[in-house]
Amino acid sequence: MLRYDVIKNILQTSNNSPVISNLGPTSDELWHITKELELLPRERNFYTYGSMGLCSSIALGIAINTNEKVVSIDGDGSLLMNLGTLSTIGRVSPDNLIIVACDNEMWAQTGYQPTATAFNTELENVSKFCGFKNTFKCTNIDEFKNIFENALKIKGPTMIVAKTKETGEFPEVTPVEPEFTTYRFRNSMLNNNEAKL
Amino acid sequence: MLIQDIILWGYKMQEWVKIIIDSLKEHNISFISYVPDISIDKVTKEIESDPYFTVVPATREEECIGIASGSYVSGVNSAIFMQSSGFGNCINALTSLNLPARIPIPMFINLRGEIGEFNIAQVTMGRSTRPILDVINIPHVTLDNDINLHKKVSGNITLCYASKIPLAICLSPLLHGGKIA
Repeated sequence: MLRYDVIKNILQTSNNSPVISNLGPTSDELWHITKELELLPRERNFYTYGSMGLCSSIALGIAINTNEKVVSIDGDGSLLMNLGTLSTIGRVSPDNLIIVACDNEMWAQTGYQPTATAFNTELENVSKFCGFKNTFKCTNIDEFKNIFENALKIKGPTMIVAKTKETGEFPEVTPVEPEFTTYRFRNSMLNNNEAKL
Repeated sequence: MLIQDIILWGYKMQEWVKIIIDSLKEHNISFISYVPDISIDKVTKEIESDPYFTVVPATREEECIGIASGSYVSGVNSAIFMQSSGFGNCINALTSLNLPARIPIPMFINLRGEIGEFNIAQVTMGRSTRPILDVINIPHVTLDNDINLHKKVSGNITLCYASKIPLAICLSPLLHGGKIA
């Protein structure tokens, strides 16, 4: 399964939910797929450009303040750098948080070095023992579509480990300035919460 | 230490704690993430028991930056409490998230390595905290035993939101009495 198809399915099924994407190809693909689906400017996309490991921590901070489903599109390298945040999520237990871990078992962009998930670490079990309410693992896109559709209905926190393959190609960098992402995303959340900017 | 010093010290502790909490409320900061520290515990304990605040204890200070940044972008102002040792865990998050994405977060940092420090392992990071803040262009102020505490805390939080970058409010042992070994 390709990360590209995973992200596409998330955008097609999660309406206007906040989507937070891991740095690098995940954020870049999110923008390109949003464009392809003619959903630009999707204000609820929060692209990250650095802050290694913090994608799901940012998603946690967002999820606590809203009743909407919040989707973090994270990666195995990123989660392994900050496994502690899985235990914080288990502790806080926001029922609206869904983490989709695109697990390619490698640091692809830096030269395809294998991560620990290529060996003995299973992110779905780590999440389960950190206190996630639901944990899933899938290896093909049809399986993913069913699991994600269900995840949008049930109470989380939910971890979906999607075993993905690399194509060897990376899209161009997201052409959205980080501070514009912040401004647009926050404005959209404030309007939704009927607060004043 | 004289009895009146102890009483005065106790009074001052309460005062600085109240000033920080009042300043947070003045700026609608209702979301707090922290990693514990024995001196800032005096504030975080009060915050935990105050229903105004949503509090998320994290496993690592860098994680606090992520969680608090998520809160800010979702429309709820946030602040962080940590020790100077933990500030060392935050630097890439600050420079690659908060600075480029313009996410302002007041960070309350207890300074180790100051007067009365007894642990050699705390000295370098404690004494490097403010120079590192200078190098990465994050403004900072240090609270000690002066009389303008409210202006320093509240005024610097105003500056933080005006500049839309994080700002460090460092807490010195002269403010809170330091860690009692």
